[in-house]
Amino acid sequence: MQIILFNNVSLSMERELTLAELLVQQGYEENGFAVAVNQTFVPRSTYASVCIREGDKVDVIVPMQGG
Amino acid sequence: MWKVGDHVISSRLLLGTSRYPSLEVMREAIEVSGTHVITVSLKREQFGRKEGGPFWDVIKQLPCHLLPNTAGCMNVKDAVNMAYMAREVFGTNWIKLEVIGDTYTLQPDLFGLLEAAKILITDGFEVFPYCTEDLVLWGVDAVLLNTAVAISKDPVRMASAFATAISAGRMAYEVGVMQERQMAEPSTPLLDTPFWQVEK
Repeated sequence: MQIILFNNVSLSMERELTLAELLVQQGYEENGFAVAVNQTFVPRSTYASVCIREGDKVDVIVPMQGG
Repeated sequence: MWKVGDHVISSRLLLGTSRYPSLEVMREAIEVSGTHVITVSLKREQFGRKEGGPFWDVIKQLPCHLLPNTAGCMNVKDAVNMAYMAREVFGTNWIKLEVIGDTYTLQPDLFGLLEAAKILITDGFEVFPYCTEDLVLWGVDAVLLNTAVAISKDPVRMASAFATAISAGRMAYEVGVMQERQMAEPSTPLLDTPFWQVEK
């Protein structure tokens, strides 16, 4: 079992997943968001090649109001 | 008209999208202001909730350029990361670059700002730096504001008021102001003032 932090909540994965697989599993299939893994931006074009492992911190970043 | 990067923009008011009483009031204030540039930001989504949708649905209907910010970033690495994420989410290379040096006063960290700006400009960004007035001694091309409109008693009318004021200020600048004077001078000609004829 792999434990990660997804949007600051603990999440169990039965095995290592690619970022693309994890996002689909969590319902993120469209555009309109960006992703940081361990507080570093991950370009969308690399989602399928980034492996999410035990202890990783994955944040989905979405638009909000700003000044 | 003024040129920003490869865009020509007519309104010199840039308006923020935060702190309005509702998305509908925000949308109306933006429309009334006539602005062509609105600022936006990013946040981490809360687990199990899809929060960005309603705001994004309103924003993408507006005929405005989006200017994402790096609000809340306290160091170069975070600001640069946020700029990259903003470029991917909003599809623009514009970034209102904020590297905050002091959370109490919101004063920028100018050294961090310059370092982050160099990285981003090299990578194709158009950087709008959040900086203190010592870096803008050459004057200003436009006014960016948010809270003064958003939390006024009537954001829509206040947006109109600021738009009018900024337009008036620009027009006066273009016309050219009068020469500065050291002493008062009456604007009414005193020659043949009637009371000069009165004998005491």
